[in-house]
This record gives sequence, structure tokens and C-alpha cells, in this order.
Amino acid sequence: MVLNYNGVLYAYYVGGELKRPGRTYLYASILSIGILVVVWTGIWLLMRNNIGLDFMQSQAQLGANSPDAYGKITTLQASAGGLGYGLVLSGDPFSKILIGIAVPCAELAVDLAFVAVVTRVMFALAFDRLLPIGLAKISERNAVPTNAIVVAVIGGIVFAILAAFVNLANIVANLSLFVALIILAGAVAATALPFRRPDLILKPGQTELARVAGVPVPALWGAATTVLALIVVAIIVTHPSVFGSFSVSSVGALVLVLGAGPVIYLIARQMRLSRSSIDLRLAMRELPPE
Amino acid sequence: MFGGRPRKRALRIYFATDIHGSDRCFRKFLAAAESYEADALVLGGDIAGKGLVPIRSHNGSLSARVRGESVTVPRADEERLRTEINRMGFYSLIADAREVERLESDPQYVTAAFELAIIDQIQGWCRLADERLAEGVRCIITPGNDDPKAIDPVLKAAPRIESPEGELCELGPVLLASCGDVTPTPWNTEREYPEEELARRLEKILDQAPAGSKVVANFHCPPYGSGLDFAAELDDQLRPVIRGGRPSIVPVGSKAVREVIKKYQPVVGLHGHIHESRGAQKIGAAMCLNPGSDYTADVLRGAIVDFAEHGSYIDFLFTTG
Repeated sequence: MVLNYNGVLYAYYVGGELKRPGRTYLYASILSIGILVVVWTGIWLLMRNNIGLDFMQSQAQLGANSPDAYGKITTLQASAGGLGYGLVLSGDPFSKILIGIAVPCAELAVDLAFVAVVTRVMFALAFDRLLPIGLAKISERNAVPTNAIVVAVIGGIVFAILAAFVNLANIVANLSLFVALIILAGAVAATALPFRRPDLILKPGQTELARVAGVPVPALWGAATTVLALIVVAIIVTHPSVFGSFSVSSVGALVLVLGAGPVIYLIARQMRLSRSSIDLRLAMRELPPE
Repeated sequence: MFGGRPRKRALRIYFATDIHGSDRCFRKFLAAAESYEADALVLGGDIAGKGLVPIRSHNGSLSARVRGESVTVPRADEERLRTEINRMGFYSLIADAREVERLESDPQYVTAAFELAIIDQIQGWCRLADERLAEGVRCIITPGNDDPKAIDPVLKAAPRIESPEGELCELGPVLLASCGDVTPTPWNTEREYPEEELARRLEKILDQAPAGSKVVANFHCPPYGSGLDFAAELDDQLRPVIRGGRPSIVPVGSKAVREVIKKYQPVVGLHGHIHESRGAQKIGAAMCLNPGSDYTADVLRGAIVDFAEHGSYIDFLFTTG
């Protein structure tokens, strides 16, 4: 659902690997949501009966509050902890089988979704020449970006090996804050857009945006979203026990990810200048019409 | 990683396409020569607008119907209204009630007025190119399927513009092969041909290239299934086919263009036609580009392509200006 909301599934269309994306997407969504509801509700009820709600909540709480302590008592990731404990602790074989099937199925579905997203993002960046053009190569035989998939799979294997030695819960503890900050940035951009480029949101034939008290209506929606996003950020920051505690590594990871864009751009520009005759900064240079 | 030596360029082309009558995009196109330090500007077809919008003048106000929406503005806003209509790829014509009625009922009169508006605009653009382009910058404009054949002599007659449609044209170290023909579209435009005929027309141009020469294929139609040709599928009434709540996307390029590129292996293929399918794809050794088009947002999408001394391709970069 999150992937759908973000429009990531449009990435599938580029390579044309889904012959009838509309129909396939619809069926796949309904089927997966149906299975998800049945399996997860059933397992949750079984676990609640066998393990108890208190235990499930306390392990989740420990995972969010003290990733170090959590890492010392189990190698299971905090996010998979509930089901993992369910598998370990449930008494009857029926529950074990159900949980044993559900965990790898869910992990596989998430992994496939993220491999698809990562490969298509690589593909798109290569299309725009921010990554080597070879990553945008589409296989003529099966219409998938083969090179991007190979790179993503190798990256995934490296990450999986790394995860076996490092407690990743520490690093990704501020994931909620990261998402909230992205939404905040989008909301600020939406507030500024009607002032900077009103032409991009004007309807055909319109010459001016509708205004309330002199302020363009889209800017008001943007401002309202900004306020709500700020409230969400404040709640996340002031409730680390619920949304993830702050540590040097988690905040460092957040800063690294948020600041990676400009750094990658500068590196890409220098790399390109060293072997090509075209400066990357020309890509977004605004042309004067007069 | 940073220690390489960049290859020295002998030619930089700036390529844009599908500006559909947008005055602002054409002015940006001319400005691109200086901004991107291009030696040659190439505009690859579909330069004419998409239709004519009559503006009814009455009682000191102007009314027009644009894409189904009625707009009325005071006469003082005429320039702004015409600019907005032009932004959407249409021409405007101020008319009284009688002329508006004729425009709505006489298709031949509309066609003649539309063609006149196109020619008038292109003549204006040619004069603008004459005024604005620096000496030494070459400006090549070739037509596309949406351009009536009546514009060809206008382009050829312009002193500052070259229009080598259906020909090979020497461009520094490369030869530019240009063809604005496409495979049949739902709109039945003037330059549409079946795949076999299109293949013959393209081969006729490329067969003239001396052996060993480096050719740049300026073919308006993109190669089929290349990722440069994905567009919304349309039904018989030209409405987008919706599947699962989303428009169905299908390849609409030309198999003839693909086969010709595979066979002749130009160093670069410059394509357009499908506005939403901006992208780059290699077919064999040929780097094929479609910079896409976003003229309704006053944005000129294009591609800078660099060539070395002997005509070999160095690199390209998509631009948004």
C-alpha cells in the first residue's frame, strides 16, 4: 500500500515487463491484501492466545527503546521479533507451521518489492545519466533492466552479510522521523510552488490561481500540510519510546541519508568531468526566453 | 575514478523537439546555443501548434473556449490570454460573431486559417533566429508528422535556418540524416506511412552516406519497444484505455526505425514524437535519445550531444531549461 501510494509501481511500466500492468496490478493487490488480512489476523490471534499481548508489546517496546539490549538477548530483528518469538514460544505445531510459513512469505514479499523499487530507481537515474547508462539497459528477451537487477542483488547480498554482524536496529531507529521529514519537505515545497511557479498548477484557460485573503489556495493547503507535518515531527521527537530512540548511529544515519543527495551529485559531477566533455550542472540550467 | 582525461569535443549539438507552437520554448531553443555552448541547434519536428482557438470579441471583453473551458477576460488582458492559449500549443484568432460562426461550421476555412497561423508564426521564428543567433551557430529545423507540408518551403527559404528534410546534411565531423515521417497515428497527420514504406524512405536517405562516415539519425519517430516510445493506449474514440484505474501504457514507435538503426548503426539517434517517453537507450552501438517534451509548462526539454574530431560519439546529457 505504501509503495502504491508513493507511485513506485509506475516504475514497472517503464520496462514494459508487465504486459497488462493495470489488470495484473489490480489482481495482485487484491490477492495480496486478502492473504495478508487472513494470515496476519489469524497469526495475531494465535500468538495472543499462546504468548500473550503483554509479551508481544514488551518485546516491541524493548526493540524501539533499547536496540543494544534487544540485540543482546536475540539475533532476531526487532521488526520480526513478534513473529520470531511466536515461532519459538508457541506450543502447538499448527501455530508453528502457520508462523513458519508466514514469516518467510512476508519477508520474501517485502524483499521482492524493495528489489523492484531499488532496481527501477537505478534504472531511472541511469536514464537521466546520473548513473552509468549501462544500468538503463533493458533486456530484449524479457524486458527487464538486467544490469540494474544484478547490481541490486549484489548490493542486497552485501547488506545481508553486514546485517549478520551489525545490529541494524540502532541505525534505522529513526525511520519514522525520516519519513516525517520527507513529508515536511514536500509540504514546504507545496507551499512555495504557487508563488514560484504558479503556471505549473494553473488549469487550462485560467490566468490566475484562486486566492483567499490574497494567498493562493494551493499555498494554503501546503501550509496546512506543513503545520500537520511539523506536529508529527514534534510528536516523533518527543516520544522516542514509541517511535525509536536517538543515538549517535541513528541520527548519523539520518543525516547521512538526508545529505546524500548533494554529495552524490558533486561526486557524479566530478566523475563525469574527468572522462566526459559535458558538465552535469548544465542539466538544470534555466534558459532565458528573452 | 577522477583521474581520467576527458575527450576533446569537436562538435556539440543541442537537440530539442515537439515544441508545438510554443513561442517561449522557441526563444529558449535559440538561447540554448549560448547557454549550453552548442555549435549546432537541431529542432527535430512537431514545431507547429495543435489547433486554432477563436477569441470572440464583444462589448469590450474577449471570450474563448480552451480545451472545453470557457474563459472571458477584459480586452486589456488580450496579450495574456493569447499567451496562455499559445502555451497549450494553440494559435488564437480574434474574430467577430460572424467569423466565429464560420470557423465553427466551415472545416476548410478553419484549415486554411490554421495553416496561415502556422506559417505566420514560423516566418516570425525565422526572423527571430536571424536576429538572435550568434554567427557560426548552425540552426537546423526539420518537420515532424504534426507539421503541415506547407512549412517546408518556409523553412528552406529562411536564410539563417537549414531544413535538410529527407536528406543528408554535413554537420562538422558527422552527417545528419533527417526524416520527420512516422508510422500511422490515430490523428491521421500528413507525414504518416506504413512500416514498409517508412523503411524504404529511411534507407533511401542512409544509403547516400559514404562508407565509414559517422551518421546521426534525426528521425522524428522513435524505435519500437526501445523505452523511448511508451504512450497511453487509446481506444477508437481516442480516449485513454484505463485498466485497473490507470492508463494502459504501450510501445508506439516504429519497427522500421528500429530495424534501420540496427542495420546502419548511426552513432546517435535523435528522436521525439512521444512527449512523455523521455529516455536514452542503446540499439547495438547507436545511442538513441528522446528528450521528451513539456512545452505546456514553458519548459524546454532537450539533449546536449558531444562528438569527437572523427565524428565518434562522446557523451550526452538531458537538459531541462
